[in-house]
Amino acid sequence: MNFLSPSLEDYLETILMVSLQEKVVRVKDIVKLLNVKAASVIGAIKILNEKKLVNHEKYGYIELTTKGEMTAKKIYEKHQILFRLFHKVLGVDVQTAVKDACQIEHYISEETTKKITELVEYIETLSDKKKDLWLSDFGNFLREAALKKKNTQNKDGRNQVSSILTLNNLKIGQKAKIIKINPESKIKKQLLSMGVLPGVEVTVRKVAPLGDPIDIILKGYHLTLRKEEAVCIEVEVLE
Amino acid sequence: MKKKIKIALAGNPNSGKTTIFNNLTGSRQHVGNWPGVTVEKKDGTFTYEGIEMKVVDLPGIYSLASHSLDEKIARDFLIEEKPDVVVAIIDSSNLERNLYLAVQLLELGVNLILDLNMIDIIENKGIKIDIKELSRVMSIPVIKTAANKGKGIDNLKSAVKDIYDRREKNTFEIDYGNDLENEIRNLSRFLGEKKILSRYSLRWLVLKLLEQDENILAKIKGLPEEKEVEKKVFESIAKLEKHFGYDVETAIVERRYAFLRGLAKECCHKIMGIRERKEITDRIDQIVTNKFLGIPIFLGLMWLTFQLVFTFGAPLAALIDSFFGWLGGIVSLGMNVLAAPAWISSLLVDGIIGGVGSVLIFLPNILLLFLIISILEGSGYMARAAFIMDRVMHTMGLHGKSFIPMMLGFGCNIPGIMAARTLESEKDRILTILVNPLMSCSARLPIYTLFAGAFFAKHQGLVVFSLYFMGIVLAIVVARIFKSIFFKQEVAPLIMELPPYRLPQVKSVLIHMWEKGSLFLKKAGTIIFVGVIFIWLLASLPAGVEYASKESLIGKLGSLLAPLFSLAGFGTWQAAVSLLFGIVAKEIVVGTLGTLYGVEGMGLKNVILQQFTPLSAYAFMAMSLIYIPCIAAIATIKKETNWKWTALAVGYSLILGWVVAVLIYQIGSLFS
Repeated sequence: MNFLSPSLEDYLETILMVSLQEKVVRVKDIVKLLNVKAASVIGAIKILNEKKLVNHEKYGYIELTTKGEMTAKKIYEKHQILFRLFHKVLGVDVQTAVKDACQIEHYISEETTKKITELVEYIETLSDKKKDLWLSDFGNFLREAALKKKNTQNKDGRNQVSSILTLNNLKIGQKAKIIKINPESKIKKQLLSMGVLPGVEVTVRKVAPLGDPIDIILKGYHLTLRKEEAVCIEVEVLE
Repeated sequence: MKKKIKIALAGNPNSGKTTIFNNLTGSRQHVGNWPGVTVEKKDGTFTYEGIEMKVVDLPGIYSLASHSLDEKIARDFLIEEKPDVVVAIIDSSNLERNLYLAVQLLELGVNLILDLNMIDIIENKGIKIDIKELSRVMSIPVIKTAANKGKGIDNLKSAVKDIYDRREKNTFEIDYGNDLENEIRNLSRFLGEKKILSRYSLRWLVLKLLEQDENILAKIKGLPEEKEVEKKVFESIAKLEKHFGYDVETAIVERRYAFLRGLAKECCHKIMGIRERKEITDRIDQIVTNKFLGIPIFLGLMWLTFQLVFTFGAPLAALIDSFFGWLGGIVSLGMNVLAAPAWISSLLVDGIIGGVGSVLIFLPNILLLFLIISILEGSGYMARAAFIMDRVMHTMGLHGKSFIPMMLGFGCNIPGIMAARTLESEKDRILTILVNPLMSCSARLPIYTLFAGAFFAKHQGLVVFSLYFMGIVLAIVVARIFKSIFFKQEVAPLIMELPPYRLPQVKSVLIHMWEKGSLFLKKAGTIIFVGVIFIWLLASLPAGVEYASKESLIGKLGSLLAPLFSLAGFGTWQAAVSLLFGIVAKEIVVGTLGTLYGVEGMGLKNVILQQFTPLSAYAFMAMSLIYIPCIAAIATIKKETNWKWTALAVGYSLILGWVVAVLIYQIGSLFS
């Protein structure tokens, strides 16, 4: 069988990478890159040699066989496409992306790799504007999904996680705590002086018959404001 | 010199300030405007234990942050006029938010009395407010009143005298916490040494600078130390914001409210055993602002208002009209007997009596209108009306509260224009006033009846309706255009308290009604009168001509203008003169045409059928609808705004009226 353990695959990949940059590959190069003992490297090379993936003369240079080079390239390509997916598309930071790619590359199937490659290439061919749209839409989807999840958890009473919205998104009867008033808002002063400030609890009492404005209760009195004005008030849903 | 104590009443809207004011002063009050603006200023006097006291009712406000005109007026008055005593009127059922203003007044350094008004409401709910504790913590006198029942007013009077006699400097300060207090101290030291704006209390000045109060920043501008102060303040703010993680203004307001929350909690004691009743306001609102019932109820109430103002008003107006007709008849008879020259008789009858009559004829409508408006406002319904209609009016570029003035305009533009006073935002108010004359008032109806009856007998209703509709469409278009020209980027926010429903006080309602009515007579009356006399002169000069004949000045003016109207299909001097007379009052147009053609009733209809075509008749009606509001409306616009806006209202309506009439005639001619 041509099965290679993840660590052997790593050795093979590392040999390929060194060979792409240097004229020759020595055992000490591998030792340095993978941060392992020379003895382990020699042991691994011996197995790879037996599997006819590398040629290695004692104390000499390491060379990939044609079969070894193909195998190594396949692994390296998997690594590259996974890294692109994690870092460039999903926005995972470089270190984590590299680390995860290094792990997954050993287990992922050819078919899945092919599909991921197609998807990543599709996204990368999109124009910047479209890409932003796609990604922000995706981002919104994620946030909403997260919210929904949290809200259902709330109902179950299992997990008291709250959700943050702007006031205009509250439903009739919902109670919320004010988190923040947009400091750039022109109506900030007016809201503050009427007691609309962080920490205050508000309940949406009513929506006008035509859908706007809304009637909220805070500090024991009714206040009405348009939804467009309620946008500048961030709240945390309580119930 | 005789002692005279100056008192200012300050408080949130709906805190019962006006009721206190009325209770203190009774009939000894005077309504005017604050200098330079159209916000009402009320003052009055009373005597207590031989001392004369002068009370000023400040506009209802939530804070002294001066983001609105009302707040600026209140603040300027408190700072510049330095009243001896300020009474903070507190709605006891909403202690925390009402005390917020009181705290700001204290920070401003005024001599303050706290008046817990509507104490009966909260005590009925079984809540007792510990006024001793409140007085101790805030170190000011605290009294209780229930002004709508006239209770506690004497306590208030004696408290005013007491605090005036003692003249202690108030030392109350809110502790803003170490970080803020450090910066306050730093800035105080800096400003104190420089003696900048020393007429303000130092601590207050520093707080306003940290809050980035626009008014104070404007006062700093131009001082030699401007840059230095700005830099210092900016440093403090940057430091604090880094520390708090949000803006300093919010932090300051937050700490004031935190203090008040604690205070309110400490001072309010719930007496057990009294079951809390379900809030009556909530129960009324369940119906009145209901998703399905809200709009029908609103429209129903508007219909009722309309009916009351115009149906009840009409017989009274007719009575006044016939009285002046009768008086004119008597006088002209008397003149004949005395063999006085014709022009004197005409001056008295057509000029003066007609002029006074044309002013007084509006009085019943206006009194009724303000009777209803003050009931709607006093009961708390007005805010709900704005809540319900805001969506519609907002798309027009107006405010929810603009609906009532617009609707009243269908009856008469004068009450419509005056009703715009209920709008807090100056821009919204002016915009509402400017387009109000496009609401087809009832005085235009006789013109429609005559012309539509003569030319479109079968479709009379439809034709008249189309004119009303045209007025509404034009109002929307004009409002949007004016908004984009004059009030760019000015989207007045709707942030409004929906006050609890209350039974309006009969006394307050009547005082309110009388104030508005007499104000109208005084201010608008003079302009209307002068206008009427002016038109009379035009129609009577040069000496010896027949009144309003072709040879009179007005006739000549009509002949001069006639070619201009020939583009709209009615280029006769008679039509032009009748339109000129229409400036006095639109209903005169029909009468004038009758006089000029020397016919009446059915005869007039026949003459009209010869002089006009259906198309030119329609153009004439459109012109009558749109061009210059009558003198009374012009005078009211002037009274409510200034000459600039009045000139605009007159100018745009003239041009628009002419353009629409010409377009109707010219485009119509293409098809016939």
